[in-house]
Amino acid sequence: MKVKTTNFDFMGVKVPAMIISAVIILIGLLFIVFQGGLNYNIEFNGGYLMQAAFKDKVDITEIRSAFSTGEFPDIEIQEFSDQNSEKYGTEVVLKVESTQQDIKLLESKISEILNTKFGKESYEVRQSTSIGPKVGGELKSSTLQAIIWTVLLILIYITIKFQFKFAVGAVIALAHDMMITVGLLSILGYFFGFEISLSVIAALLTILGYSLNDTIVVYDRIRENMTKYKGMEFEKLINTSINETLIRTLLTGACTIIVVIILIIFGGEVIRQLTITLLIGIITGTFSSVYIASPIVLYWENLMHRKKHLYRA
Amino acid sequence: MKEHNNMIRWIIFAVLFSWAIYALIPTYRTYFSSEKTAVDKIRLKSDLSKAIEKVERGENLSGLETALIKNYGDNEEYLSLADEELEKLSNFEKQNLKSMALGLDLQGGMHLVLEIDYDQLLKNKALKKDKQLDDLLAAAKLRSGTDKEKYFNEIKSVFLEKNVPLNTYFGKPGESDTKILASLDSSARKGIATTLEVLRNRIDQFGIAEPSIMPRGKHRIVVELPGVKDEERATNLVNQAAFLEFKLVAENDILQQKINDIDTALKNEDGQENSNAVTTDTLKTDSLNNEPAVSEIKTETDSTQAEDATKLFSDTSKDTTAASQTEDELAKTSPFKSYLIGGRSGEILVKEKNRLKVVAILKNDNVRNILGNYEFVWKNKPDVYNNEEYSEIMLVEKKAVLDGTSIVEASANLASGSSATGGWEVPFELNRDGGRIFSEVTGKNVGRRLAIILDNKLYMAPNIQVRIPNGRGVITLGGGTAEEARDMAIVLKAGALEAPLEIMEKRIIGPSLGSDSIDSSVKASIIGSIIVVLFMLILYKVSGIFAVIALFLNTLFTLASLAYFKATLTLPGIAGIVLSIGMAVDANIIIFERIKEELEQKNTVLSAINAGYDRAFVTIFDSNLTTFIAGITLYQFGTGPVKGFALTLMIGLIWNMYTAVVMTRLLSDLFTKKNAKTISI
Repeated sequence: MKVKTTNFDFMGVKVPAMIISAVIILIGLLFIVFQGGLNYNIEFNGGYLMQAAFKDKVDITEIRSAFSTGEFPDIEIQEFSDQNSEKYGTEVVLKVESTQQDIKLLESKISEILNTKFGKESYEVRQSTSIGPKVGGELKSSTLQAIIWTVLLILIYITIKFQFKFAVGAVIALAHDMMITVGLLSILGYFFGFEISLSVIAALLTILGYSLNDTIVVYDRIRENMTKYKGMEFEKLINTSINETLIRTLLTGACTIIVVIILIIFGGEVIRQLTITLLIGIITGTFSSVYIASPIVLYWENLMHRKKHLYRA
Repeated sequence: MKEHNNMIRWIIFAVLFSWAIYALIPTYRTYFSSEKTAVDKIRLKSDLSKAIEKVERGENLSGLETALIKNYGDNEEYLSLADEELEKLSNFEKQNLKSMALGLDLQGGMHLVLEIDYDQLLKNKALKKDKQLDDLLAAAKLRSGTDKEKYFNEIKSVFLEKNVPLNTYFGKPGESDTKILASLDSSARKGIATTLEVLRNRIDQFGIAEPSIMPRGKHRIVVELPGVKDEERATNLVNQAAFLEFKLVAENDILQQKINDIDTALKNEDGQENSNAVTTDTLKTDSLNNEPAVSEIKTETDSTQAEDATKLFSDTSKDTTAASQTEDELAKTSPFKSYLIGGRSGEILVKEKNRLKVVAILKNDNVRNILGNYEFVWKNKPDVYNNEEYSEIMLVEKKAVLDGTSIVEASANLASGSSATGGWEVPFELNRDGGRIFSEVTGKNVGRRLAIILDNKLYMAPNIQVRIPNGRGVITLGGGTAEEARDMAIVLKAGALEAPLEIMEKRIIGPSLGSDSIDSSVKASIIGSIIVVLFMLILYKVSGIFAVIALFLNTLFTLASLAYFKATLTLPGIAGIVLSIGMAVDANIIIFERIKEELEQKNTVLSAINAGYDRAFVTIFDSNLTTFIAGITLYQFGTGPVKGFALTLMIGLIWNMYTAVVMTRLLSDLFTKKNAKTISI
């Protein structure tokens, strides 16, 4: 397959591209503020979750009515999206957020209500999770630590391997990726009840790594071209570099995205939060290598140059 | 020279490949072949014997047990396998043949995060318990929040503020606060070690295949029980303090004295005048007679039972003047006693509905003072008489004559013969010192009752009829189930938890969900791999084949590493492998695109290949390393399944460096003629 290197003027449209990003981030932020923060699940807020598979078909409203008069009127009951209709009649997921210290008590109360209404034998507990209030708070802080450490280490590494201005571009690109992903997840949270869980955090950290991966490939080419085309204007240099790596970027991006889509479709509900987050992040990450990281490097470079000129003048 | 290098590389590859196959054999045997490992045989034999026992006892069998007996019941092989032999075999297997473990989310099981309840621990260790202690500890807990480290410091400050020296409650008299704090701290830390030990013993006896009991940080313990079937039992087993004590029951006159004293004290407290209905000697009070329950309890005919309830408390069973007293008036004249009802064998019962009130009374500081060296304990289960629940309460000496640490052996049996209810019992055996003490105590106290108390709950209080010299006894459960008896035997044998545990997190994955997850993830992996393979073949043709072989080897080596280091494969872990496949492709794409670029510049095939690999290596290394960094922090801060994801991702990346760069190069060299003009790329 003979390929001619393309010659798009990527940097020419950098401003509109960055504006689009900013708009998406803003919308996401609005949704976050509107919902009063991120839509954390019980792993962060404490509470109880039970996935119950009823042998016969059961109407969800019946289940809801069993709880409406008791201690847990706010209980969330949803149908499990991977309905296994041969084995079970109805499979539901019950969620209760609670800061109750004694999680055994919480669990037994909810089981009691179900047992009274439907009988213990009528359903199978496919999984249950009880999280005490302490654990959740710690999770939030350790997640923040994880993200900070990762970004810090990466910043150091890129400064060593490339130059500081590249590190700045990379970090801003990462921040951009995080904000867009979390923003979009909040929008999903508003419309589809998507919750931030531990696996979402895992996906976010992976995205950090992947986005970097991508950005570095572009940087690597820029670095190589900086020595190869010594006199070239920086903006043109960046354009050339991006064009040269375009095929690789698109191919890898396509390959990884297809794989993640397969995981979303066939991987099952249990890892769905992980895989959806990965998808959003990988798309954003690929985009940010071109339209955030590189322009920042350009701006920084120009800024530095202008300063030098000012000095001389 | 290059030939020489390549030869070495092929040899290295051969070594690695054989290692990978060797590492994966146990996994294959465990999950895919029908040949059973020794571990499986042990489990099978145990399940089989239990099922056979059930048959002999005439109990109902579950479907699984019926199938077991049908398939293996006559199989001499299983029944005749010596336990020691099997043990040896299974240990050997465990050490040397490492199979990849499946995470809880794939095989089902329970995950518990426990934290030492320091609050309770200190209360247990306290020399005396009163409201002041409760308040001080509560204040310290409030201030320190979730930070266990701060807790001990806060205790120091709180006690200091209230001007209460620590040696009032802990340590020896006269010891300084700092010394006591230090020793408390160290015993708390030792607590984790001993807790782990006790838990391991208990779980061992419970019979879980490969349990994991690990400390986390300084104050927490993570328990993972894969494949556990009865989660409730398992949780209780882990959670139960299992503190066993033998205490002498207070004699009757003391009991009556205390009850009266309490009544007096309570009335004085309320500022009520002394009622003349209460006498200080025998409990002639007729209030108890008016409780209809007494006569109804009496109607339970059991001629072998000793005391008539009313005799215990009063001689005037026909006193009618008292009949006019209402419950409220009774409460005024005898605030404590009015809640107490005599049972047919002389026990004191309290209606369940009154229980909280009685508990409140007993917490009263004055009452605690009156009780002095005695305390009331509640029976572990309420009894039902005439559709109402009653709980027994008994006055015992505070100081235990013996505790559970002296128990060396305990088992569970069906009570033989004498008991009408045919309940379960737990015979136990004491160690030499314990046996000696037991003999002394029983010798000196014939005729008195000895209460057997587990976790501050009264199980039984048999009469000491004769000196027991051989250090053996029996705890009758009076009904109960086989599981209850067995679990009690387990915790008695394994020992008490000195440090009570609080459950912070509990996750249960049912095995059906686990196997569903395996199914879906395998499906996703296969489909994902096929697509990637097609992708590479279409794009890069023959070179694509090399890349595909490299991908396959990458996955093989990753799985082999997991198996060899006995890491755990979780559901996100499988997602990590699939993601690695997608990302591994990147390395090859970089290389191949580079080679194409070089070819376009009219370079020779060989130099193009060289340039491609050389130049690309730097890029691949940088990009893989950054993803690896993300993996490291994920591994550090993640738990369980997330750790599994990080692990497979990192291992995949490392192997990727080898397979995508070295292996494809080797293959390409193998199939490219030296003076080739073109390559299929």
